[in-house]
Amino acid sequence: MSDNQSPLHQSNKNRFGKIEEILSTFPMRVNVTIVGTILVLIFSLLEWVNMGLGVRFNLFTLQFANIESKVVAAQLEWVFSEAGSIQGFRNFKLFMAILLIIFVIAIILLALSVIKYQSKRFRSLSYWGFGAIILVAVTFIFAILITVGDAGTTVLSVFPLLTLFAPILTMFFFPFDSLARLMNYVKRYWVLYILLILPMAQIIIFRYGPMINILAAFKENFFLWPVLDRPWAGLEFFVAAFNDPTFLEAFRNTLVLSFLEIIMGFPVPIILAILLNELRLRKFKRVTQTILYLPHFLSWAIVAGIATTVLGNVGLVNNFLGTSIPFLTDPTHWIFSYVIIGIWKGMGWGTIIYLAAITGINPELYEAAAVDGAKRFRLIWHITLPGIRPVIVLLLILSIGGIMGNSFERIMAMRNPLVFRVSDVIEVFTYNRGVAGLQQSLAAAVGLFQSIVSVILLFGANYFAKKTGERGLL
Amino acid sequence: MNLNKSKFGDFVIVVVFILLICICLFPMMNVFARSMSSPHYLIRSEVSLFPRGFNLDAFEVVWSDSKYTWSLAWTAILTLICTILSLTLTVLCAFPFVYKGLLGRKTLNVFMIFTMYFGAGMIPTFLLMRSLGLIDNPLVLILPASLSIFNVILMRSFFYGIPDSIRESSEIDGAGPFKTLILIYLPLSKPVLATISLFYAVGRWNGYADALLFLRTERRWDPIQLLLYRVQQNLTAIDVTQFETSAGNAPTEAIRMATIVIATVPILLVYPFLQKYFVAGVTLGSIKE
Repeated sequence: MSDNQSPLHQSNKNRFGKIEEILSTFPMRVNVTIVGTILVLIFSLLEWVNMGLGVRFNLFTLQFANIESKVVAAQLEWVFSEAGSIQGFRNFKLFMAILLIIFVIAIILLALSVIKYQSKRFRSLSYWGFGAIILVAVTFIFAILITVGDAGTTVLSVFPLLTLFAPILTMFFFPFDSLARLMNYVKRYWVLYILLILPMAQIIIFRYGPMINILAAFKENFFLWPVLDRPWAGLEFFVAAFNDPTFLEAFRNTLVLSFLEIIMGFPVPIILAILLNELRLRKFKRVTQTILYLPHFLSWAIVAGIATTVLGNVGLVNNFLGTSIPFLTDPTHWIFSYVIIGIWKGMGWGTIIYLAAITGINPELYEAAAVDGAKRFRLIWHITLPGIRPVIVLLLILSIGGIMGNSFERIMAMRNPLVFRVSDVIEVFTYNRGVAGLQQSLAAAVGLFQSIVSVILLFGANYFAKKTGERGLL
Repeated sequence: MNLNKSKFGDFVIVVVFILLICICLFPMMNVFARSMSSPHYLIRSEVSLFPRGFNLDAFEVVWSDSKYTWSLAWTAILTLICTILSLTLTVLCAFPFVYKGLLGRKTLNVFMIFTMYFGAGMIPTFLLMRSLGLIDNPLVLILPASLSIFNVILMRSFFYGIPDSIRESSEIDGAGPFKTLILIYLPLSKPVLATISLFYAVGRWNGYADALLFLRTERRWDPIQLLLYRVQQNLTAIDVTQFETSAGNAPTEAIRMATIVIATVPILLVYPFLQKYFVAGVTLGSIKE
């Protein structure tokens, strides 16, 4: 037996008997890694056998999807044919054979290291085994990236290979040095992991699940096929999007509406919050807040309904002014109506955060300034505004992050055929082409572009804020 | 305390707010008034803030239309189911983070927060729903939106506010984590539970983007807001052609107004009583950011 065992470990020896004796020779994490690796190998083998039989197990539907065996056979044939070899490696068969041999050797090394545990000579074998597996995994992934032919991902599924990294990571990060410690931890915390199962399943399925389908942007527009089985198209659809005048128009509309929204809408809640804070009639203040918050609770469908009624040709506003301004039917007017309706809906609600921040300002500051003779405006300018500056910066960063995405519900409810020229933003384009229309790949490419630019804007704004000495978002 | 503030300034501020109140209320009053007015006045567009030629014909038409009544009932059921499910998931997701010794706590946190900043987008989500067989399925209105990370963070920061010593003493008394959650944490966090369930309920009642995207051909599961959206889109198309002649279609308009009023009333009924919970939620979220 090795001599690096803790007393806790010893006391549990009898309970686990023979298995414990075997396992205890290695540090705990090595054992876990070995078990994990074996599981992953079995999983990968199953996946490859699946594909050989022309069957794929769909992890999301939990069903076996029958790929027509002819298709698979054709794809396999293609990979091993001259054409496939040209695009991939010259000697694809040889390459595969070498990988397979390394793989087998790795398994043998691992097996030996477990069986011959007692001999110190073999102990380092497991590390060689892991090394070999890393090598195989990396080569496989590179091979797939290079072989961006039709059958690339279909024949050699990347995902089981990626899982090979999991046991290797465990090797380095497994935090327990003995089985007893592990059992102690599990006893104390297992309930918490059970509680987490459902929410994490929700997050994995509905938030991470779609991320695999982002690949659709890089694949041919075979819109009825599963995304993974579609042939690769490279950056074709990104190029197509930027040559599409409709997309460029949608891009422009998005930027125009968002910038106007920020310039006109962003200061409103700040001003209102400061004014609300200045209101000294308690009851009036409460009633005002209740009424100003109300529009936030109306859905965009309702708000659009109210807007068409009130801003129509014979609506309330035009009747009151005695005019017939085409608020919602003339493109230029519509842009401003759109922004102002947004402000109308959100201005009261937006004040809450600022009001909370103002409440946090030390009242002694005001008193001291008042003693020095400062009037209302100077108090606001020198105390209130600097006091809520971090919150202003935070919300500004968030709204800069939102420049690329307009609210889908809002724009869908407020657009009408006369203003499509200025109202159709990126999201509407994506919807029209990808969901209502049949250009899924193009729409996916545009959507990915939008997400990436959004993230860059958000973190760019955050970085800039931090550079200028603000607290920032993260 | 007297802070050198002029009476005149106060007066101006009060006037500004009275104006703002008018701007907020008048459009809604106008819609209410129109839904209850007689066609005679509607055609000549003489209805402003109060109904003229009061009648409830439009509401009767809407009530007798099974499409609307079913949609209202379905949305109510849906809101109830979604709120209960979402609240459960939120509590389950937030509670384990209270345990500082939980392995993988930081990883799980990053795993969760990441999805707040990067979403897959419309088409990948649509494709996922298709491969899950959720298109035209009522479950698509329940499951995908059943957990809001923002609300989890809200819940979590409230849980963090409960002293660890309470938890530890309950554990010394032999209660496991689950018992601690049910017997100690939940009773202490009633206000935040109210806030979060309201967020979910209002979100479900008002939302229709998911319905618009994922209910392609099946009209049976349309929530009320999607129905309103469809009515709205059809009628704006009509409105647009009629702008030239400026002759409104009064009965249709009254009916359209009535549908809006009916979908708004539930919110208006609960809103004044629950406003403080909403405000509390937003404030908590902003402070614990």
